[in-house]
Parts: sequence; C-alpha cells; structure tokens
Amino acid sequence: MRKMSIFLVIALLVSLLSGCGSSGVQQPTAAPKDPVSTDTPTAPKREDLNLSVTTVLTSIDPHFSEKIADMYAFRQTYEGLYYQNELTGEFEPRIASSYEISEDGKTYLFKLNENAKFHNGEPVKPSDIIYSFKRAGEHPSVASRVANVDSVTEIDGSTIEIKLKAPMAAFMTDMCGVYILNEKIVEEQGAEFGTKVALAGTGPYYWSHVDHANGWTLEAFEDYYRGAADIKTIRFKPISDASAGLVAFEAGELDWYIAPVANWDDLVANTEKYKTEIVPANHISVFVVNPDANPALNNPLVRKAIGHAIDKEAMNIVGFNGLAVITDYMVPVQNTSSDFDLGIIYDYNPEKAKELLAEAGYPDGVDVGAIMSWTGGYYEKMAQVLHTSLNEIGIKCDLQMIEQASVSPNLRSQNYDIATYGWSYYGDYSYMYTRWHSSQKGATYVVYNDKQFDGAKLDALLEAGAVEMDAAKRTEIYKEYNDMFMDTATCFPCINKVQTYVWNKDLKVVNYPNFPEIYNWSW
Amino acid sequence: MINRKTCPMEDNSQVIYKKPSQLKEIARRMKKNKPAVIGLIILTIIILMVLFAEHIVPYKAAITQNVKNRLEPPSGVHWFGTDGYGRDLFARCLHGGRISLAIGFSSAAFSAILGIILGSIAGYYGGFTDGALMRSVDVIAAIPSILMALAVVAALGASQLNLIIAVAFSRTPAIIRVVRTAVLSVGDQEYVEAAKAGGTSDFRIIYKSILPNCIGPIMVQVTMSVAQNILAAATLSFLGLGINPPTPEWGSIISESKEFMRTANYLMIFPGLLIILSTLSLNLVGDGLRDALDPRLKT
Repeated sequence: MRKMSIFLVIALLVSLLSGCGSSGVQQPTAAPKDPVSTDTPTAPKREDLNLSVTTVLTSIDPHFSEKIADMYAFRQTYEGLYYQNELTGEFEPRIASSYEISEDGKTYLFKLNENAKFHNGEPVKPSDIIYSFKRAGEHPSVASRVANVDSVTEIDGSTIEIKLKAPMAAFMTDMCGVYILNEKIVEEQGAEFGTKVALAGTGPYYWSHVDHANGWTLEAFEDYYRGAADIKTIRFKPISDASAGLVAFEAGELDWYIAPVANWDDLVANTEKYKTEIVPANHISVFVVNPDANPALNNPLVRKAIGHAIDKEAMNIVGFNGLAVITDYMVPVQNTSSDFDLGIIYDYNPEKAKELLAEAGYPDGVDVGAIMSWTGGYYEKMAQVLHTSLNEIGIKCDLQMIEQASVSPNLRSQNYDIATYGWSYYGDYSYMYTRWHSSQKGATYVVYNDKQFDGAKLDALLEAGAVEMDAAKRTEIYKEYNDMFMDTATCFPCINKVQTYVWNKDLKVVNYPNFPEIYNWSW
Repeated sequence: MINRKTCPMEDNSQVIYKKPSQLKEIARRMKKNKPAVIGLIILTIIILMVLFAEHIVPYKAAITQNVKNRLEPPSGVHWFGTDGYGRDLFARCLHGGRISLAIGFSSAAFSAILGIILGSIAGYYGGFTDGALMRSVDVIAAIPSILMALAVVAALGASQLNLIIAVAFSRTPAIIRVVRTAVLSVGDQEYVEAAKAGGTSDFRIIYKSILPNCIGPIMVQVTMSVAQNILAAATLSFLGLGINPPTPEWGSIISESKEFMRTANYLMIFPGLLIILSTLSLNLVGDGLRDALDPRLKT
C-alpha cells in the first residue's frame, strides 16, 4: 500500500511537471523546411473499391446464373455484342462496333470490334460468338434470350450474321445479355468453369480471386479496348443482413452501399461523410390473386374488392419509408413502352370494396384463404398491410410466411390464394414474355387455369408485343396486356422500388437502376 | 428438521412428533432463498400481466395498424411507443408474452411427459432397452438443439403448435437423461424390490414407487427448460420461423424491430427486457427449487 502511494505521488508530480512544460515553457521545435511541409500530407489516391452483395456467389459462369449478386460482378467482367444503358435505354457498342437490320427484321449483321480481346489477351473470334450463343441456348437461366435465334454464322473474319425465327423488337435487349466467352478456356475448364478463376471474358475487369462464400476480387484489365478503368481493384463481400452492411459501410469497410430505407434520413443528413441518391429500380412489387384457389376468389367481384382494399400509400410508408413510387403498371413507368393511360385503376377505396363484397353476395364478409409472402423484407410488410386492410372490410384471411426459395415453386404450382411477388425488368417490356407466356414453363411464375382468365389471349398479346416493331402499336398491345390483369383483378401492381444508394463522398459514381458499371467510376 | 407440536394441556407427558409435509418443507427452504423469491415474484407479475392482458390493453391495439403514428417514442399514450406499422408496442409485448410463455410452458410439459416416459423405461428396464433408447437419444442430442428445432419447423411449417413440437423435441433428450439417472438411483431401493417381489406391475412400481422419489431433479430440469424454451422460441421467431404475423411474440417483435435498431431502439429494448426478466426469473426459481429439493442442503 505504501509503495502504491509513493508511485501515485510520483506519477502525479511527473504529470504536473510535464503539463507545465507544455504550457509554460516553449520547447524548441525544428523549423519547417518549406511551407508545404506544414500542410497535411495528401492521401494517395485510392484505386480500390469495396462492395457488398446480399448473397454468396453462385457461379462465375454468366450463362449459368442471372442472380443479382452474380450479375454485379458479371457486369464488370463480361460483355455482349452490345450494351444497353440502363439509364438511357440506348444501345452502346461493345464487342461489336456496329450493326445492321434487314428490312424484314429477321437478320442482324454485327461488325466486330477488332480491338476487343479476352482477358487472356486473345482477340475475340467469330467462332467465340457462335459458341457463346449456342452455349447460352443450352443454359436455362439465359436460354430465353436466344430462344428466337435461328442461326449465328460467320460472314467473314469480322462480321457475324444472326438470323431470327421471327422479327423481335426486344432482340437487341436480349442479345446484350448473352455474354461472349472464350471458347478455348471454357472448353479447357469443362465442368469446372464457373467454379474457379477464368480469363474468359472481355469486360473492363477480370476475375483475380474467387471464394464463393467469403468474397471475390476483380482487377482492372489493362488492355481493355476502351481504355483501362480508373479503379483497379474491386472486392466483393457477401453481407446478408442490411443493418450489418450499413455498419460495415459506416466503418469504412464498404465504399458504396444500398442502404436500408429505415436509416435513409440519417444518411442523407450526414453530407460531410457520404453522398446519397435515390434511383427508381426496375422492379415492380405486385399482389397476385389466384381465381382458382377457392369459390370466394373465383368471384371477380371479390377480387375487385381486394383491389380496392390495397392501401399502396401505407405499403410505401411501412415497406419503403415512403421513398418508393406507387404504381399501377406491370413494368416501371420510366420504361418508354409504359407511356400509356391505363383503362382500369384500383384506387384505395374501402367503402367501394365493401359494396363490391355485398354485390358479390358476401355482405358479412368472406374467408379468402391466406396471403402468401416470403419472410422478412418489404414483401412481408406489404402482406401485413393488406392483411389488415382486408380484415377491415370484412375479408378474412391468414398470413402465410414462407421461405424465399419456396415462393416460386408455390406460385408455379398454383398453390396459393393471394401472394406477394415482384420482378425486375430488364430493358424492354417484352421481358414480361419470359414471366407470363405459357411456353415459358421454367420461368413463368403465375399460371391461371381458370376460364375467366384468357390465357390464350395473354399469350397472343405477349407474342404480338415481342415482334411488333412499331412503338405506338407496341404501346397499345402492352396497354391491353396491363388492362387484362386489372380487368380480371388477378394481378395488382403496387410499388416501383427505389435504390437508396449511399457512398463515400470522395468516390465519383454514376448510379443505375439495377447494376453498377464501375468502369465509369473513379476516386 | 422436525416440527414439534404439543398435545392438549391435560396430558403434558405425551409429546407427538409429526413430520411436516414435503411440500411445506420445500416451500420453507425456498423462502430462505432470496434470489429464488425475487425470481418468483417477477415471474408471478409477468404471468399475471400476461394472463390478464386483455383487461390491461385489448388485443386489438396489438394488431391495429396506424401508419400515421408509426415509430412514436414511449409516451403517456403509448407506454412502449409504436412499431413500424403504428401498432402499440406495449400491447404487443403483453399479448406477445402470452404466446412466448405458452410456448415455453407447453413445450416444457410436452418434453417432460415424453422424457419421463422414455427415461423411466430406460432406467427401469436397463439392458438392451436402456442401450437402444439411450443411443437413440445420443444421436438426437448430438444435433444442436436450435438446429433440430429449425429442422422440425422447416419440415412441419411455422405455427404455434409446430413451434411447441419443435422446441419440445429439441429439449426432450436432456429430460430423458435426467429421468433415467434419477430412476437408476432409486430403482434398486428395498421398497422397489419389495414391490417387485409382491408381484406389483412394472407400471405401478414406476408410477407409485419410483417417480415420486425422483420428482425433485425432474422438476428442476423442467423448470429450467421453460426458460430455455422461451429463448428457443424467440430465436426461431427472430429467424422468421416462428408465429405468423401479425400475431405478436417476443422474438418476432424483436425481429421486426431490428431494422430500427439505431433509429428507434426502444422497439428492441422492451421485448428484450421481458425475455431477459422472464428467463432470469425462471432460472432463479429453478436454482431455488434445486437447492430446496436437494437433501444434502437440508438445514
């Protein structure tokens, strides 16, 4: 104890003396060598970028997967003949430098960019393009993109001819998603392609490290034909929990992030550290109603009553903090093909809903089964809001929360009453073909067997829209298509999601509705 | 310890010693254990509030959405504030407690019944029956209990009954072990041998002679498992495998609130505190029961 007291006294004295020294006696300091040296040294310009995605990497094979987490990397590493700009809708040349369309709209001639080369340094050959289109047709994830392609042939060493089975308005959009691969590398790796690093793409970045579960890295391709990217290294890390991702972003572990909407106001206020932007995503959330599910839902008046009970404003507030866009369209309104006035709209009108219920023979309410939704996220919130709204007008139902992976199989097998669902649309309204046409068994999410819903008419509209080259006529077709769902009260578009981007204030970015193009970014 | 009672004054020479009932003895020892008493008081308050929840705040307040009033902080109107849907959090916590405690107690009862039956059989018959049963239990016990519960809910679907089954199933191996050990410890007692010699049926011996003498450790294990079950149910609900919304349950309330962890942390704090208080009080009561039932700690 005594020793401790002595130690404390000495420590106190030392601290007092040192305090006096700093304030009372000016210590000699070295004079600055030059005025510049007194400034804070400028931090070296960063050349790396840390991003996160919500799921692990499925594959690095762009024909195998179109999952969002994978596409984030694919967009940087692979290219099609052309690229469709998500913001402008314009087609920009990539592996092909120009194209011509025949008068009948069935033949496309692509002139290849002679500077385009694969990450292993080999030039892109016509045989690689023929191989890639053939391979894409053999992989379900992207097969629909080439379903209308009749043949791909080499005209000369730098020209490719693609013949279609029928004219197709969305061919260019679809073709942009057929990534060109190096035939030699893919064949050499065989079944292993997609599981390990491969220099088989032509994009501004190449895969340098692949750990599907823990993170993957891309490096800038210095010989890229449009010039090397400013950002040299991109590291992707899977972080499934949005709040955990935000913590990582705020800690500086991530440079760009899609923030949870609940935290948006705080982030926007912190302009000293971050930049923020809200961009409407190419995603529509809907409620689908199965007319075959039970006698109540078989009654169109009950379904229309449900339509008038959907409080989209409340869904937007609860699910998206009021940031999203309320919609009645099957694809986002920013799409030019959606530039039409809808014939039928379901406004939120509980009184009208009750009247429709009474007219349907259910003045005291009716049980319609359950609202199926996947657990968590905005779909669950939308389902909860609808559940309450339906109960208020006398429509009884349960909430059936299931895992995300179980939703599509249940929808496809018609095993639902009412369900929340949604889709991201890419580039052209005819993308709906892959979701709703009866021939698209692998991709279609909802199939109506009921006689009330004219499936043949829906197919015909989708087919007509896909081949119609006249913009005005296409608009009419898609208006009829959109109205068809509203008229039958079988699908109610509700919310056009937004992307709440937040990023390091020193990073210069161009934000897109779905996928970043990091080639355009810099520090 | 023996209580002493004196007989009427006219016969002072005769003194009768009466052994107090075991229940009174346990209660007396429990009273001496202050943490256990505090736990019992907290638990009683929680149970009473949950039982009379409808009289305190109607269930409708727990499920009625009002998005204009969403994320309101605690106030005189909404004691615990409102959640992301504008629902009263106090009402949700109170009514959610019904589900959480119901799952905790029901699954404990469920696993106790199963555990007592199987544990008694294993302990009483021994030999091959014991070996086969206990090795099966070992296999089940080798799977982490929460993983087992997840698997059961994933297979059966999310509902209150399935949650009870899932939690009970994951807890049963522990009860079986305790019961078996307790049965083994009294199975070779003279009174059991006497009953066997007298031709009493096995069921009657287990039911009348063995189980009453090993109820202590079983009670302790079951009480402790209630707290574990509440936590397990909350965990499953937090993971989205619990009760379907909008029915409140403590774990699901926390799960729904996690996105507001930084902007409205009270949404997680109140249900979290209720889980802590209920499990802590159950553990304190369980500890107290263990001490009260342990003959070596008799004072």
